[in-house]
Amino acid sequence: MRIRIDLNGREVEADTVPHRSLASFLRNELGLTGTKLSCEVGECGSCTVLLDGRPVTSCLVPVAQADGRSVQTIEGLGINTQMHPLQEAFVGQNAVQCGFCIPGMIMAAKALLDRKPDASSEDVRLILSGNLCRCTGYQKIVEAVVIAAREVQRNG
Amino acid sequence: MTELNTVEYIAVKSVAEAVTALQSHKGARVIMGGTDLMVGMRDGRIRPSCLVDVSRVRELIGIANHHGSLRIGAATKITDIIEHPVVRQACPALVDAGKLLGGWQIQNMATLAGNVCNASPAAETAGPLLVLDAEVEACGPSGLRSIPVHQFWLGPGKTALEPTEILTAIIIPPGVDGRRSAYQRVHIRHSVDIALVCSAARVVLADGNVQEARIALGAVAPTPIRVREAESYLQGRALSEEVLDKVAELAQAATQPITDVRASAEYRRAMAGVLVRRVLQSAARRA
Ligand SMILES: Cc1cc2nc3c(=O)[nH]c(=O)nc-3n(C[C@H](O)[C@H](O)[C@H](O)COP(=O)(O)OP(=O)(O)OC[C@H]3O[C@@H](n4cnc5c(N)ncnc54)[C@H](O)[C@@H]3O)c2cc1C
Ligand code: FES
Ligand code: FES
Repeated sequence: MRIRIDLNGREVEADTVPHRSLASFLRNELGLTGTKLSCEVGECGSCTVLLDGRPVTSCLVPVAQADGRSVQTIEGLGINTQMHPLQEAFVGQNAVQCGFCIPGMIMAAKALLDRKPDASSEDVRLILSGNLCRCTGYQKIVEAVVIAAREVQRNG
Repeated sequence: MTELNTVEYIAVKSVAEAVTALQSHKGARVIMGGTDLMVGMRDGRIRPSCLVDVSRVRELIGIANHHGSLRIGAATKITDIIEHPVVRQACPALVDAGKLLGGWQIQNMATLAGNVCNASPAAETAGPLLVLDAEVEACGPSGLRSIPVHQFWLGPGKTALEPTEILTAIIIPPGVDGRRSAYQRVHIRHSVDIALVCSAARVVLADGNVQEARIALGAVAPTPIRVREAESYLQGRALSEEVLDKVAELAQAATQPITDVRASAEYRRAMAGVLVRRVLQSAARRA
C-alpha cells in the first residue's frame, strides 16, 4: 500500500505493509529511531508520537491509519542548537537518566502544552500516567514539564 | 521488533463496503482503534485473514442528540466522548469510565465500539452502558437491527454479533435520565490497568427517594451483569446506611467471581459490596 503522511511538516510517501505498526514504519523504513519501542503492547508509552496533534502509542497504530494525516515525532521538535522549551527543561532539570522513555514523555507533554499551556503539575501527572520510566522516579520529569509550560507561556 | 503475519487490509469508506468485505473474506475482523486487536494479533491470540478498517467511515464518527436519544457513532474516540458536553451532562457514568480506560494515548485511539465488541468481563464502559439501558445498533447483510446491551455479551470475548455484522452505534434511548449516574473501579494502577472489580449505578430520585435504579457490576462473572434484585429493592427507598447495607449484600450475592493472578474471588466479592455503595452515593450526589 502506498501511504502519504505529513511527517514533522514534511510530505513523506512510501510503499508499505498497511497493518505494520506506525512505530515500526518510522524506525525501520524511515530510519527515524528517536521513537522508542519497548513493550509493543501499548503499556509503556515510549513509542508515543502525535497523530493529528494527539498522542498515540505508535506500536499499536496500523500505519494505514496514519495515511493522509500529520505525524509528529521527537525528531521534529528541535535540534541541539535550537531546542524546544521541553527539551531545554529536561536537560536543565536533569530529568533524564537512561533516556529511553524520554522521547515518549516529551511528545505526550508537548501535546499537553499545545492544548493547555498553563498545565499544572496535576495535569502533567495525569497525562503522563500512560508513560513508564524505569529510572527517574518521575519527580524531575514532572518538574521539567511544568518549567517548560511556564517558558512556553512566557514566550506566548 | 516483532512483525505481524501478513494479512489483507481493507480500509473502507462506508458501512455497506464494510459488510461486503466481511461477507467476502472468511476470517476477517473489523479493526477500529486496534488497541485490543493489535495486541491480540501480536501475541498470536487473534489471527484474522483480513482486517476491515472502519475507523475512518464518516457515518460512524460523531455524537448526535436528536429526539431525546443520544447516538454515539461506533468510530468515535473515547477522548471525544469524554469531552463531549452533552455526554458529560447526560451520562456522567460513561465519562467516569472513559477517563479510566487506559491513559491519554489509549483514549485517543480506542473506541466505545471496540470496548463493547471486545466483550471483556471487565470492560470499562460495560457497566455504564448497562445502567443507561443502552442499545447496540448493528448493520449486516440484511440491514440494521438493534440489540439491548444486556443481551449483547454472551461470554468472555463473545457477542451477539454475526461475523458479517458491524456495530454502527451505541444509542442511549429517549427517556433514560442518566444525570445521576456514576462508575468506579478497584484497580492497582491508574492508567494501563484493568479493573479488579468495577461498578456503575444510575438513580432517579423523587423527594429524596429512589424512583428508579440501575446497578451493574463487572469482572465478577463471565459477562458484565445487572443486579436486578438490588434495583427493585431500592425502589421507593432512601439511600440510608441500612438500605445501602442491604444493597451491598444483594450485589455480593449476585456475583460469581473467580480467583486469578490479579485478585481472589473473596476479595472481588467483598469489593463488589464496597463499590456498589460508593457508586450509588456518588450517583445520587450528582444533579
Ligand atoms: C495499554 C492499554 C490499556 C487499556 N486499558 C483498558 C482499560 O482500562 N479498560 C478497558 O476496558 N479496556 C482497556 N484496554 C483495552 C482497549 O483499549 C479497549 O477495549 C478499547 O475500547 C478497544 O477499542 P478499539 O477501538 O481499540 O478496538 P479494536 O482493538 O479495534 O477492536 C476490538 C475488538 O472489537 C471488534 N470490533 C471493533 N469495532 C467493531 C465494530 N464496529 N463492529 C464489530 N466488531 C468490532 C474488533 O474486531 C476486535 O475484536 C486497554 C488496552 C491497552 C493496550
Ligand atoms: S512500545 Fe508502544 S507503548 Fe510500549
Ligand atoms: S530515563 Fe530511563 S526509562 Fe526513563
